Amino acid sequence: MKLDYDPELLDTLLQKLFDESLEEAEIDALNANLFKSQYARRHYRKSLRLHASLIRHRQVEKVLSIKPLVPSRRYWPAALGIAATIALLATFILGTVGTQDMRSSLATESSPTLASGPAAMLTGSSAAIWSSATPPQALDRPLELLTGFAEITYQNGVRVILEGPCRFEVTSETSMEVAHGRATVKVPHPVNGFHLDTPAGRITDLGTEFGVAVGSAAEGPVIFAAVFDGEIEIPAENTPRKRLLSGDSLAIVRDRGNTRLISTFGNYPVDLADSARRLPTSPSGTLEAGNLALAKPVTSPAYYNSELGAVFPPSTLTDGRLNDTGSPGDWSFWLAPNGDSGEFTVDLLTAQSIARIDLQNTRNRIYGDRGIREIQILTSTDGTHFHEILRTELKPIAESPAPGVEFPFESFNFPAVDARFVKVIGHSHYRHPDRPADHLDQGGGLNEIRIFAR
Amino acid sequence: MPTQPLDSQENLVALITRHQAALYAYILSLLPDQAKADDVLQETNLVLWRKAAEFDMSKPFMPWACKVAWFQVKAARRDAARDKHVFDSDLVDLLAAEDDSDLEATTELDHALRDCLEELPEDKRELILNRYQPESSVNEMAATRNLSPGALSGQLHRIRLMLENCVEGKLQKSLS
Repeated sequence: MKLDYDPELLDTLLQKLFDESLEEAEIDALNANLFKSQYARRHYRKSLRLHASLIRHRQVEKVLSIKPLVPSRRYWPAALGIAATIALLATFILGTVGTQDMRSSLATESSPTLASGPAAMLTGSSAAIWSSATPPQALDRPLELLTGFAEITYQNGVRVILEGPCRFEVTSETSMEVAHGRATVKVPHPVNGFHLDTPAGRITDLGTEFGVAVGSAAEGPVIFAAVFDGEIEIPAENTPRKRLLSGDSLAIVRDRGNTRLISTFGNYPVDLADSARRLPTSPSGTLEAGNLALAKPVTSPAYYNSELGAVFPPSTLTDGRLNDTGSPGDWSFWLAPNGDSGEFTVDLLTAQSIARIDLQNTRNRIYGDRGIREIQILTSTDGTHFHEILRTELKPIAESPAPGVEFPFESFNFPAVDARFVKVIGHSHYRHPDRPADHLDQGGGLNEIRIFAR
Repeated sequence: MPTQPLDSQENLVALITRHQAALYAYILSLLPDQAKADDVLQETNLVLWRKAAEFDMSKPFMPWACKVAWFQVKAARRDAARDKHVFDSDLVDLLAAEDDSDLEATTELDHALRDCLEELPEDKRELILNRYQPESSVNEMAATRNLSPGALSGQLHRIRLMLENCVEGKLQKSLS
């Protein structure tokens, strides 16, 4: 077979295509090469299939059976896959029994949907753990995603990515209630009128992609809302509703029946740029088996505690939740007070032999102004007399990884020692690289500590 | 609305599910943009689902599904008409018109790829998998590794070629 194209040149162009680095002239060259030769197109398809498979490799999760849930007058297919080798659990909601009234009542506000049928289904998940033993069989009831990510697709094409911990319920063909946690909603053109109900009121899509972090503070419910693309309508203080446009972010605070909208909490702008807008890959998952610190109590002389749910207590250090995520009042990491490198003590409840400690640093989400640096680790069997076992320095988390991508752990081994209490004292911390040294917002912080017998 | 026997519905859902990898590869070949291809796959799934009653179970699934996907690709290109597309319309028409029987073997390719990834040296496996993390970019990866984007792209190129050879070997072995 005589080739009528230059395979090396095509290979180079294809690798650039796959790495999204094609220049204008190269785009033209690629088009020309592929257009003129069927062998080049065959070559392209072969390389593309591997590229596609690599993309989908990251999305692969569970294999779940397909089963229709509600035998009724109408049968509906119960599952659609989104990942290569996976089958997905299809979940009917609004099954015929007991749902006709709800459908009727929604008829006036429904977006384009089928005359009847399932409103939404669980179309994917990544490292998801549910409060139930198995993934939910129906979405029309309050559900709790403890950790990981789940993707819910509505029949009208609306897609919601949920990040645990999250409590939610699909309430109709065009709405979802999120009581707690993070959600990102993508509403395809030309659908609009999708509603996301929160404890601080209803957020209405006007054709868009937006994210929320639903939490609470001493003042009441606090909801961060950010528009990634398009427009949404949110509850407001002086007018019935307020529109947020692409790039806007606000916190909705419900306080004694009143709604307040604010753009900053403390000195931080409200920002949800780290929200998962697509179903992330399944985290590679560093091993946690044998972690003696998991769920053990942690005390700290002080921690960062400000208004509107900006609370970062030491209990987050052993909660098994990794990375900088969460929602107001329920963040996944510990922060020392401003200007303080921090200190905390883990109580293993009984004296045990330990020989390794793994630490996962923080960067305080997108703000990048926190993180512990030089540390001293001490142990004790009685909580009074502590002995130093090591001094070391943690690396900073320089960049925010994509949602679902695990921050690195650093592992420290030492000769086995009996300990019930493990104290970590911060002697220095990382700051925002572009801010003056005396800037208020800086201090120690850490995401997680794991302690092992060996 | 017409109803179908449950078995047909289940069969169709199984077909859609089983062919997700092939459908994605087909869509991506016409619309080589991960995010757009992902959206088009979602749309295609919904249309296939809605058109379940139209599918003749006695016929092959992929030609029908690819036809639906092709219309969704065209719609996506039309919706994003102001964006610069990598491929010209004529080329996309040509690619869509040609038969690609190898698509049917996409699932086998997935399995072979999984094995080949396991066989890669750890540093290479980590590098290529990092590249395929959501939101990952060659520029950012290169910056964190103190490499030029070109150098990193070269490394990724070599790893992809290693994987391509490995996958091909495994697929041929499974046929022999």
